[in-house]
Amino acid sequence: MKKRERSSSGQSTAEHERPLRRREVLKVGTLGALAGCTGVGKAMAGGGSANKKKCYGMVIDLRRCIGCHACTVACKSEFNVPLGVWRSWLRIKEDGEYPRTRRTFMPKLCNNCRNSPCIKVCPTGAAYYDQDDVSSIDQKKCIGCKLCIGACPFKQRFINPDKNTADKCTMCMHRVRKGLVPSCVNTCMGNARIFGDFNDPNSEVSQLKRDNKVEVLKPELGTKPQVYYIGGTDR
Amino acid sequence: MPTYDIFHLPALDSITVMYFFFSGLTSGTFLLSLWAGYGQEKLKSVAKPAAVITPISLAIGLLLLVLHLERPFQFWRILITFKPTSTTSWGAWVLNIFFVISFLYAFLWLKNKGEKAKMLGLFGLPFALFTGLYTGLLLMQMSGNALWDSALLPWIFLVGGLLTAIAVTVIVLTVMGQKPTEPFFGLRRHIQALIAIELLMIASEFVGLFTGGAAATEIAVMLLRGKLSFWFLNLEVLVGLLIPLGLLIVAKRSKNAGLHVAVSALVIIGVLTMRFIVVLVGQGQI
Repeated sequence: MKKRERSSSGQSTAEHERPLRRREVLKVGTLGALAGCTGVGKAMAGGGSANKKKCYGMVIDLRRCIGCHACTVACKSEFNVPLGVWRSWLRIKEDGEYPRTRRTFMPKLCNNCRNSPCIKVCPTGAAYYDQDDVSSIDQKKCIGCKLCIGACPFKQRFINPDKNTADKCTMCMHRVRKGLVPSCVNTCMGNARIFGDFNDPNSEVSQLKRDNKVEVLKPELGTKPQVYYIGGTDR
Repeated sequence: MPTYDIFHLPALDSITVMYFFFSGLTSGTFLLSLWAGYGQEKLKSVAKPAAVITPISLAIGLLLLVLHLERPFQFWRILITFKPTSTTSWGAWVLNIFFVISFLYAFLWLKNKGEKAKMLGLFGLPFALFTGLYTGLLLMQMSGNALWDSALLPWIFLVGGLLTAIAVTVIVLTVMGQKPTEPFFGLRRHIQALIAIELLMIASEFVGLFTGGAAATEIAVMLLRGKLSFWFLNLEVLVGLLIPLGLLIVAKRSKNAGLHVAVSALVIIGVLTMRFIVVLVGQGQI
């Protein structure tokens, strides 16, 4: 299979070469209830998406994740994340009884919620949406009150022991703004992680979200996460 | 089935719990002082000591609040921002204003200007109520915790604060050499009523937990039969609420100072245990 072209513009030139059969079986269209970025529909109707606000997020195809931890390591090295804390990691679950057993892997990262509890509770405005609407942390303003850590339903935040401030995945915006994909996406050998702009209807993530049965974590909390999982057997 | 996951350190620690305790105590002593000042003749002598305890307790609470920060010297940043969506931002502002009010209030009582103090007290009433309720509101704002998703939580905290306030006041009065006479009997009735209210609210909370879905039911079962049952049933409910209630009913008109101090100590232990359980269990630490 030809290697898929990787760019944050989301133009997937080799999309047709991906094995789509299983996905076609699962095809249930877009899950309206899960759609956080309302811009998707409008952009589709209007055609162009050049000046639209961004809505960065990820689609993670769990069927393609082999649990190699490359994303965890790439993230660690990208940000010099200290020992004992992680911005992105794998949750591993073992199911079944010998000899019928299996392991399932779930990459975890900041869900870049559109309705973030962490941003709401922050008393100093250190947790905020940056110019690209990505949930970010202003390390200068953070006083380390840890309320965002308690408020995040996905337990993605931690105190960085080097800086004594809250820290988390920032979707590698320093790379994305230079036209690269996030480090974990770049290193994912199974192409399980796909990054892009959900407000661009032609981006690969928008297409994957449209064409597959996607799920988000804890949808009942209404935080509108922008990390969509395909092929999740459980949460 | 085994699951391997990353768990970072939880947000709230024992310093936070102690801060919750002191903010409850602060709110309680202020309300008690106000209640005594405006209320029955018998309680009048309680108003002054309770008023004096308030700013001291709040100072300890604020100190703990700053100490629990990872960057304590940056705490001033909270005072140059106001974020309406953050309960903590509200709390920081209210606590600071309340600190000034409670300080003036205690000062006026010390100068024996009771009438002026009572006027100021009315102005401070909403601040005191908010201080008592807001630690619970803060927990409610943390999404996805079954134990904290309860509108009763702030009120359980407020009543807990009032209980500790009476208990601490009784201990302080005894230490200062006050004989266990009239004001103590009034306070005893208040403790009995508050314990009854606390028990009823805990019972309602359990109804909420048992009907609130799988995660909530799991917590309820853990508290009643699981590894936390000792702490919850024995320490919080039995030692902290039922035994003090029983002692006060049995020894109805006892003038034994030891009894009052013992009851107060038990009540404080109970409320402290309650706060530890709510905070640590709520964030899935136990």
